[in-house]
Amino acid sequence: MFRNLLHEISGIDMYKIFSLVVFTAFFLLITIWLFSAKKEYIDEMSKKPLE
Amino acid sequence: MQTEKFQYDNRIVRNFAIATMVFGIVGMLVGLLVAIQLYEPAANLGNQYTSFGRIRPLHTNAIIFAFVGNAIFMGVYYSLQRLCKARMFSDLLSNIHFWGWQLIIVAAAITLPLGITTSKEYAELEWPIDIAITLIWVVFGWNMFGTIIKRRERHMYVAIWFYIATFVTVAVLHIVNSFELPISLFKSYSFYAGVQDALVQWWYGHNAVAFFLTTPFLGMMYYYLPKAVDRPVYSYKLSILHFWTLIFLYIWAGPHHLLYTSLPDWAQSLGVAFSIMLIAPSWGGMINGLLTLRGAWDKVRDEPVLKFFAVGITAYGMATFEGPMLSLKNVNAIAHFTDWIVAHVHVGALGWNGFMTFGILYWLIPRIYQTKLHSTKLANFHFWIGTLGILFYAVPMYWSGFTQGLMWKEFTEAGQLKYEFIDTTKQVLSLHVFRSIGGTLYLAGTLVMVYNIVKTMTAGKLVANEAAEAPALESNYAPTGHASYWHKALERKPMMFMVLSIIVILIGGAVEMLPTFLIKSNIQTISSVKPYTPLELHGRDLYIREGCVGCHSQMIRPFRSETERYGEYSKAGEYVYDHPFLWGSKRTGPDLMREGGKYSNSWHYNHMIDPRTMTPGSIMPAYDWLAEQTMDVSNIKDKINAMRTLGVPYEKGYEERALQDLELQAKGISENLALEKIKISSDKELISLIAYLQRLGTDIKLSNTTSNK
Repeated sequence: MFRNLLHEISGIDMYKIFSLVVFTAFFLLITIWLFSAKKEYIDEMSKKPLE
Repeated sequence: MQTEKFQYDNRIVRNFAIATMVFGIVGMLVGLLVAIQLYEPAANLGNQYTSFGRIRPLHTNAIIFAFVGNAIFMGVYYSLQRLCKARMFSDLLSNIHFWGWQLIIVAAAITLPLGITTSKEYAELEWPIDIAITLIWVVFGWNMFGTIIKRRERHMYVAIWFYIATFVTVAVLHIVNSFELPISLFKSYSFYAGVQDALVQWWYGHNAVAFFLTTPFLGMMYYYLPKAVDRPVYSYKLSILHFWTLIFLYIWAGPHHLLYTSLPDWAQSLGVAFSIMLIAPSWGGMINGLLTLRGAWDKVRDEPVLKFFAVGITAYGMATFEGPMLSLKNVNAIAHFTDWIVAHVHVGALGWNGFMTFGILYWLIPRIYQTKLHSTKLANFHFWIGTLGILFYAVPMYWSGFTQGLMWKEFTEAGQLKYEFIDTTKQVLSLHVFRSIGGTLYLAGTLVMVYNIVKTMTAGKLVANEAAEAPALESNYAPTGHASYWHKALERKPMMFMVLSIIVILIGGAVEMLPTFLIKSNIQTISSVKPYTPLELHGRDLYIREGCVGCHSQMIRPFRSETERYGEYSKAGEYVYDHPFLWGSKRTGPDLMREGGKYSNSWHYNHMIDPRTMTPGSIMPAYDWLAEQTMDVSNIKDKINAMRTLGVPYEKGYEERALQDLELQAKGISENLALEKIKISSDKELISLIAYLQRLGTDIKLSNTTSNK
């Protein structure tokens, strides 16, 4: 009965697909950035607590 | 470049350190008391203010918001200043934050034993305190962002990202979950009802674990662990990936607390999928922490700080592996409502939060007092007795959880339930004794630590204002080449960073909750489900006041083992007038969803006066004072009006007749009890509680489920 109500919201199926697409895109973006980040910068940042 | 001289504020760090120790002891003592009450009902001390239902929330609130909360602020105030190379933005804000937070804790310690509660787990405090929490949280954020903005360090280290995410998400969670309609200074009704309320509550509950108990400690791990081991974190890249994926994924996983309930299937599936994905960032963080110790394990042998960190991070890894496993539907079917969940959260609380806090205290206090730790031997002793305490706590609770889960589901060959509920209660009693021994060991270790720290404090002298110097930031900084890259630009702009964090966490929250909110809250999905009568409503408020929801669920899952034991499984439409929902999360006692009509009024009367006369071996506390205290019906009109505002269809003008109806129904129950030679006047609190219990689940029972669709 609750499911029927939910079907009345247009495009409810899109939610599952939307969540997957958004997360994958987000994850890829971060990963691409990480791979492109320069080593000196990463080294410099990782030493911050020790300064 | 000109070097600026300034001073770090260590006094505020010290203040939070003292607060975390004091409230740690208090929270653990209350925890020990509630643990003993679970096998020795006399430990309820025979009065309402110390009965299990009221002080269990006191324990959870004291540990989460007082012990862990103050530990967070201690850790953040120390590390933020150093990472920003700046004193906290404002000493005044620091002090308002400190004293405001302690006042909130005191308010909680007074109101919860008095039964002033919203009943929503980890959000029990009533609306005036909710407002105070919001204000103090804003002060904390203001102070933090002020410090970040006036920093002398161009880029923000990853620990600060975790602090920012903590601040913004806790703010969003707290505000959304605390929507409530006040009817008096100490009483309010949740804005949401039934399924919606459950979804919002567990979106909050789950993410309070994520953003109060996890992200600030991860931030602190990324600062204090490299400090203690004197080498950078294993992989800074991994920490970035860890951060963004963790805050993105966590927010979606809330519905895994509601598997097999009346929550729509798709939301449950979404919760499960994202919970499984959460293993990746969580373990990324754990591995990053443990690998930071690579090549330095010899130091772990000598340094108690590192021992605490190593076990703390391992406990984090275990709890975050177990969490996704528990969110698998087949595992959850057995684990939910049992002691397994208690074991799970305590691996996190005792192992991760507790041990990380102890490690930071042992590292930090000697430094701000410019002295050495009083006794490394005692710290090592603390480590071992604490670790033993965790084991003695967790192992019996796992055993007890499996036992309960399996016994509840076992059928005889003839197809009948093999065990009565009380059989399972008796079966796990000895395990609960062991659990309290584990808790005692852990508490003993904490007391040893407090002694050690106090000795250290008296031996040294607090450097309240620690001198430091750093070059000022150039105001006209123009990034060139690789430095202009977008994420680095983001790390220079804390406000942009905050906005992006909010967007990231809101995506998950919105996808999860919008569909449920697009349905009007007052849609009457089952025509026979009617609003509570005024007497039942009053009884329901007593059920909330006494914290019955701490031990009794009102949610029958669609399993044969549950429908055989408790009756027809629960439907979403049955809860449309439940502000707040009372599904519960633990079955120390049986489910009460279909309690109505199961027993006579006199059974309930006798059971509440002394549960063991009706159910030998029961561990429920007696509620004899309910038969002596007179109902306070002065605000019944306000209650009806408030409920109507929230969408409950009481007809116009009903509030004027409510009191009359209440008295009539109460008289009926009192006369019915008189037939069984029980003398109780109709204005006693127990009458209304009986009315509520007798109503539970009967809307469907009486009419055989008629849907108006």
